[in-house]
Amino acid sequence: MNVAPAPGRTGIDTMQLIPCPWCGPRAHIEFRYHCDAQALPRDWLRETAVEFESRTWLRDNHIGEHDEIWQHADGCRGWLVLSRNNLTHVVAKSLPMGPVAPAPVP
Amino acid sequence: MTQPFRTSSGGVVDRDSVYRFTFDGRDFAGMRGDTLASALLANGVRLVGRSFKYHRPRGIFSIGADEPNGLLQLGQGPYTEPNTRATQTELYDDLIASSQNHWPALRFDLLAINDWLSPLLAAGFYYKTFMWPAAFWPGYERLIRRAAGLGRAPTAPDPDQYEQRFANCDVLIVGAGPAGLTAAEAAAHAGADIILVDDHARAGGWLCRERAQVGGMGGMDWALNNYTALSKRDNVRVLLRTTAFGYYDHNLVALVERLSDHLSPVQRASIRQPRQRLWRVRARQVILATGAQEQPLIFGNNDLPGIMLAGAARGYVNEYGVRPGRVAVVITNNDSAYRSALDLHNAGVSVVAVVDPRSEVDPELRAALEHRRIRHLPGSGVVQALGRGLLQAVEINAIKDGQWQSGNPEKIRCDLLCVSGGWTPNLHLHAQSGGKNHYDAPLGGFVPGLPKQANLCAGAINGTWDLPACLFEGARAGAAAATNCNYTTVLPMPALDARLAGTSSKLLSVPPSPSRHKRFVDLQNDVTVDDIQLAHREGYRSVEHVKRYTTLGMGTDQGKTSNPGGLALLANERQQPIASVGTTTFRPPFTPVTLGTLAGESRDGRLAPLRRTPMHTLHEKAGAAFDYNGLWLRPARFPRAGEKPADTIMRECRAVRGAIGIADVSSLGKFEIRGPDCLEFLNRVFINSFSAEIPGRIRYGVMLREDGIVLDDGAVACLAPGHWFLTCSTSHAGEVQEHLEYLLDVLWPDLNVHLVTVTEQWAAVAVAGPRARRWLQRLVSITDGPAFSELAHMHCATGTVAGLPARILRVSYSGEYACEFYLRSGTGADLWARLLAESSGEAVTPYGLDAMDVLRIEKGYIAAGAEADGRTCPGDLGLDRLLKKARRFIGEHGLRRPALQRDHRLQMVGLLSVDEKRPLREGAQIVATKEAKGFGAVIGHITSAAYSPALCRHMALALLQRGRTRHGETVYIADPLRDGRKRHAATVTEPAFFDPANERLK
Repeated sequence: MNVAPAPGRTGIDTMQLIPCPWCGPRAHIEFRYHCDAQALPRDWLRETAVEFESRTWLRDNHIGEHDEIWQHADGCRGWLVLSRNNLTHVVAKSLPMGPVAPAPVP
Repeated sequence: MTQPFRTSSGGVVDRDSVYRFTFDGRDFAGMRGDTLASALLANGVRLVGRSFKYHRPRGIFSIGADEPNGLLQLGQGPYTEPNTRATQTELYDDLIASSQNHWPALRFDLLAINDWLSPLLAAGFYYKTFMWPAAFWPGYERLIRRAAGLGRAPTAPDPDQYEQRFANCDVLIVGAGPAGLTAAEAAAHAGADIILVDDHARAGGWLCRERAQVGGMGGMDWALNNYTALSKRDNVRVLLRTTAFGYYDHNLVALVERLSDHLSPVQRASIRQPRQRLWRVRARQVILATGAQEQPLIFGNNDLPGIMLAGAARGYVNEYGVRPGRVAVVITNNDSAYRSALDLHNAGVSVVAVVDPRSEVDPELRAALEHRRIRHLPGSGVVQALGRGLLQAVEINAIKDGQWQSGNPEKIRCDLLCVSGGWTPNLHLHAQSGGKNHYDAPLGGFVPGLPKQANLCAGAINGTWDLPACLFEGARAGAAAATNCNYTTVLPMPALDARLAGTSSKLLSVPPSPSRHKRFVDLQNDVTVDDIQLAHREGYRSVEHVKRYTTLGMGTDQGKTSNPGGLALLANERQQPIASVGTTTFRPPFTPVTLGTLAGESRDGRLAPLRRTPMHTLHEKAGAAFDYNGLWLRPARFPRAGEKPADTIMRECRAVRGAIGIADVSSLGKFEIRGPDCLEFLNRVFINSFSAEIPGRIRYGVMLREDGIVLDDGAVACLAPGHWFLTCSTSHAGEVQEHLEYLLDVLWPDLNVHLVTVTEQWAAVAVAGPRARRWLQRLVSITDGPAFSELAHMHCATGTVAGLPARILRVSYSGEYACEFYLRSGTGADLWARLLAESSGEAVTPYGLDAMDVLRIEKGYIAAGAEADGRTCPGDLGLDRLLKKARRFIGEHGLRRPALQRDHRLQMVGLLSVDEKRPLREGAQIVATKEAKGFGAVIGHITSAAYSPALCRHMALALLQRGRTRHGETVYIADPLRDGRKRHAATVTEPAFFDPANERLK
């Protein structure tokens, strides 16, 4: 039940930059990947089991630009949709999620 | 202690500062400014190590990061470091070095028998030669591993300090050679923030090693002037002794700066700075001015000590004032090595011949040789080198139209052979960054192509050998990088007048000479021409496969002097152009990086942040034994003097079951939830139904992940309408927080609910035991409701405990009458102390995690990570009675999947050992019969186990197939790692061993 502490940050672990809509560009280790944006429900309250199944397990796995849900976990804890090219690692855009849309970072 | 090979003048060494050092126990002297390699050569030490596989004698071969042979063990005791390149180790006073990979001695190495056994040790011998009998392989392997390998790793912890820094800049320039320096100047002039790095101790790159003229002065002086001017600028940081070893995504470049490796132990002790520093530099633009790497030629015995790259040989003369030999022969397929002949001659080395496979050579170079009476042998090549342990002579034969001619070779006596097979651009960083490269036919090598990231290449990395062109390319790249960063650049800078003879570049591929001696392609890994040919014969076509089969280029030098030669050979075997063979993948690090630097400060106690509860100091004073729970350090036991751990746990459990126990539960995850939509939110999050907001009521709640698996459980207390307080497991608090934040911010932004994690803000103490009720009545008063004596199980109130304001939650994780007090974390220690002080007349016993675990197993309460292991759904854990019908909740659809409904799923049960003295253990497997064997026979496993003081026997919670239908059955416990083949019987029970009717909770 009791586990030793997780290893700390060592080596070259800060490779990519993710632009946080609230905080600006930060190293990707500050962020936590949550899920594929395709896995979000369209209407959670009314969705059927079939819709749930298809968004959760029958997603496309394509090459190129990809929308992902990330959280700036070791930062402002805000949520964002990151459009990221999974081949080139180029970030096309990063949009805020949540009830309050932030002012854009200059 | 004379240095017979030192010139009387010239070079950067300070002839007045003599450093003493030892090599293999013998004392030598060197000079300030030397490297270990130059100092050894100055003393005439030619033999410095034994080769990896065949244990052949080897000498210094190069002058920089490419060194394949001169790998030495440096320092002693915990400070020792194996495989350091003598060519990059700066000499300091009292340096201690020793050679590697020999037994019993460097000069007399019995393992050199491998050289005679080499037919047994060809490429892939691991898979061929030692296959029979199979049972002997472990023994073979031990012998092979002992005979191979290089230095010895230190056995004690690394006593050195390392540090890490982050930096941002406009332009990072890698390489402070001619192109790097002009790039830095141009970009700095435009106002850009610049970091300029070079792995050498001084700026200038190859200008330090050539007799060049730049801007009307010596190349070395020009470099020094430029370096000094740059260092004085505010917008420039120059890092020498710094290797850019990795180029990662989004223009992140990793550097290792060697801060004190060049200092003597005494100096290191006095300046007290870290040994090395890791830099992570994020640059808007990167300029790679990483230069080029000279390649050797392939002929028989081309590994004898005394054979050296031609550029290295003139480098030792020009930079360090060291003659690498007395009588030299130069073999080259390009013009650059003619400079070596001239520079060596000028330094007093007798250069007897320059051998060149080309028949046509620049008349100017021919004249220069003639003038110095150096024999010129165009249209010839070296067939093989001769000598026992040291180079003594070379055999020369004619080459015509790329074919070796037969006939008697001419033998020339010499003790130094300078070889040059041409130069290949140092593409490593460009390739690591994802940039393309392509084969440049006129050049005969691969050059950088389109970059993938924001980087430019300047100088010899582009195959630009001409010095004025390098200077110009640097300036152009510097200006372009500054422009890309939106600085205004003023160009052209004044063109520099620069001269360096012999820079023509057309490389000629020379076929390996016919020789019955070994012809090495890779000196560090002992890969020969025959190995490459064998690999090809055996069907290895791809360059990546040939590399792995033969180990070509897989040494610590990453094949800097071997990969191009290996590629050419493979292309020849495949009868295809080199361009279509391609290169192997360039991977970081460029040169080896010590693990201490990568770890930096993240070691020992600083490996991860440590969380302590507000009462931690009191627990320490009480002599508590601690254990990790996630990142938290929590008291596991409060032992009395002389008590064994098991006895402490028993005593603490009995105190809770028989009297009063208090526990520090401050690490529990805690959340404040407020807002008009709280009820709706909780109904969507938890599987159970929350019908109304009744202040003062607490619900036990179970939350699932979307796929229907249990995420965590906890107490949900309604403090007021629109105000709830949620607690969850210590180890899952982070996960639960992320889950709830995701739901509120992403899935349901329309819900008007505010969630704050308050784990740190609240300390918490649990008081449990049959005599706690009466004791607490004295200590607790309630401010917002009826008297404390009226507060029932699963109810909450606000009030004071021992005079301190607190939230009072009647919840129990032990099965006894219990109360949890939540109070400001600053008052947590105070409460703990007051409760212990108030214990007069009552036996109040602090209990820790271990006892807490025993008590909850006795009650069959699940623990996150043990029973809720990320694979179990509510039905598996007997929680399906809580499931609501009418409303949507997270995990509802996931839970309905057929796989989670099947009745042969693992279900939680209790287990009692039939032999009451036999312990059950976590992780043990369960089988149905005593004889059952193999993985297929496993029908479950034990998740939590303990000795129960209440039952006086061993008990466990387990996940068992169809467990709920097996109550009363006997199963068998298999624990092969701890019990071998033995099985022992256990009885399946309800997962509640103690007070299943929950009489004691009330």
